[in-house]
Amino acid sequence: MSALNRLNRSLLGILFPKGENIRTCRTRLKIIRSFSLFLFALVIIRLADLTLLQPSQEEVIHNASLHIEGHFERADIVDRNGVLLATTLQVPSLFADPTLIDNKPYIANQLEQILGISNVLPKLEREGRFVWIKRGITPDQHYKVNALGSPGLAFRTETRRLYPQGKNAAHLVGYTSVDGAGLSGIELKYDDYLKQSDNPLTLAVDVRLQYALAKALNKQMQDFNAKGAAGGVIDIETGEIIAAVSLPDFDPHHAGKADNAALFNRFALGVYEMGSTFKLFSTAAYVEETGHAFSQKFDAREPLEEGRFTINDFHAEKRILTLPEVFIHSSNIGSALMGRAIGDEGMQKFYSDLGFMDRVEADFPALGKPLTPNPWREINTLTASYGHGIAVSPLHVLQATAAIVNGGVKPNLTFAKRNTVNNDIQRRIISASTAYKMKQLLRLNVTNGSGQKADINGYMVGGKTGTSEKIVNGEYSKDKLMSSFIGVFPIHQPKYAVLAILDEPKGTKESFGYATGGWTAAPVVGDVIADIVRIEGFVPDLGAPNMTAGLDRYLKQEDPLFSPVNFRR
Amino acid sequence: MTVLIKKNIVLICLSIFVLLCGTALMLVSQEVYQTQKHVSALEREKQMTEWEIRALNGEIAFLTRPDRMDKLSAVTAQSLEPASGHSLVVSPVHFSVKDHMAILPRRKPAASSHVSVQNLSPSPLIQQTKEQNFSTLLDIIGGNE
Repeated sequence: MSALNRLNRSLLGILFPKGENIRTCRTRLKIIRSFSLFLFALVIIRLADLTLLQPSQEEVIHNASLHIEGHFERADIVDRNGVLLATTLQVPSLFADPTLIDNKPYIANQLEQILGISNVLPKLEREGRFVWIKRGITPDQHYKVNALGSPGLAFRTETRRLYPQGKNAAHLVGYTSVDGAGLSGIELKYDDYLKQSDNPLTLAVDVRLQYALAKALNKQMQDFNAKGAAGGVIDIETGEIIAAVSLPDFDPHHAGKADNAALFNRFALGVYEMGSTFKLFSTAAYVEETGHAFSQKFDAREPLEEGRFTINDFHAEKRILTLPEVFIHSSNIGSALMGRAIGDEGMQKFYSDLGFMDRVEADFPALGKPLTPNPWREINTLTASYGHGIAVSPLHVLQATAAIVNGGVKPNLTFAKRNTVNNDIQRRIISASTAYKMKQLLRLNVTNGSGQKADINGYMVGGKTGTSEKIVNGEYSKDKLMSSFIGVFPIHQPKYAVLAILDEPKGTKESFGYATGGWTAAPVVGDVIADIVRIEGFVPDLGAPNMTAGLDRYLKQEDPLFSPVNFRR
Repeated sequence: MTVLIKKNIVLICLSIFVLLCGTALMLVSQEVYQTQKHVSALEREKQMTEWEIRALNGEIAFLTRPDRMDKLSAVTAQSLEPASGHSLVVSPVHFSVKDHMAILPRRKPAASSHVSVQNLSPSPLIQQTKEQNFSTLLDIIGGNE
């Protein structure tokens, strides 16, 4: 050992003189120290970079865990009782890598059977490594495709808008595009809310009543071979739309495959000449404007001539009618005479107050604009008094009816659920006295008039029928009718107004060839009210006041001593 | 060597301090990262559960939709359905109003006029039956005192 040390010293002594050895060592130490410091600095910088400067890994992990193709967030839509109308779900979509599929004809055949589609083989024979087979498959199909065990078949998760109620409320709720943008109905109107909110949107609709109305309308459509139908239920006090049906309807999951007739919303967008249903409004205007009582008489013995026009009665009584008789016999002549008494300005103002001159104000995207005479002449006043020459939407009729029977106060329409009544924004149209008289007439029409098929034992239903001829090639067609009925229940304390309209119903053997509102639409309203009774638990109106008490004396009265009010010229 | 150590004592102490701090930061960072990973996993699990709940809600709404129940009623229950307004025969001659009020469903209080199925409380008879069943079950398992 000592020999080795001696050798080292001698070698160092040879290579470096004594003074130089110390300097060299110091220099080397400096270099090593500098290098060490440099390394430390690097380590410290890297540590700081990893721990302090770089962004949190949480976001990266979070994003990676939620990566879904075509992902969008959209709040649910529920009915007034919390029943789901629309929701967003994750669904698997099937795609294929053709290069990994061996027995393509067999796999294609199996996929066609499982998925219920065709032409799968051409897709599998394409070049490339990605081809969609079917997007948005069911859990059962997902399971069966997995069971095939083909390595070339795989899934991607996508989000889809689903409508558990299917066709029921399709026109009302509407639908969205593939990327979750509202395209129609409530989905369109509340698009921003649904995209931004986490809370579900609660509508005023009750799916049970919605179905009851759709079922009753569908049945009548089939029985009377009608082209279409529409109807609605409104809460008279709050203005909430409890049901809104337009037939034919469509499957909101495949709205693109539906034809135009099915996509057209007859309830909100369609405008129609409502016929005698309008006598409810013209009679109210007459009673309100003139203050005349039920004893007022109208000469309906002969058709009314006005210029080149002749106004006839469909159910011609050919006698002098009292005001209630004009209403329950639906006399066009009597209503036209009322219109004449009201005058052009009075009639226009009253209809304007009811909202017939413009679109209704409601939280719905596509609302029909009424067709009104322009310019408005006297003949228009006469025809508008019995619902011809003016076309409005079913929503208009529901709102106006609610205004008449709600003590004369017009409610504001809403499709979203409203918990309280905002009295500040409601407007009085007629006096409470006139409103009560109109309720009497509506009840009388169901007990003694054309609306008897809407009556229900033990309950107080009121209503008015309407039948109008559609215009074909510029002329009214006797074969193409719009038959309607507006019902109010219970008439002594109105809660709901129910409207039913049938488009081009055909008379049947059972209806003796008639396709009028009394035969076609009134039973729909009766059925719906019967369901309301069951669903809402209404007890029979046995203690209710007899709304028609004392009106008998105005019926079939032909006292020659009582001179009729004659507005004829 | 001793001189060298004495001269650089500050530097060495600083280096050791930096190293210790770096190590501590790294450990904390790792701990935070693991926690974040765990939270993200929980978050993901929560979201998956929420999606599953959504799907189940959708399924319930689909299975209980009125048209489906109507068809099922026709197939499985001989079209049995609750009494409607049409089937309630009312004759004041045979029954007094009071009698009718006693046997027919009552209307909800005016404050909330809409009755949902969920909100309807079971009749006393049904409640009593449930209590009896529950009591019997407790007797069987020996938990009823």
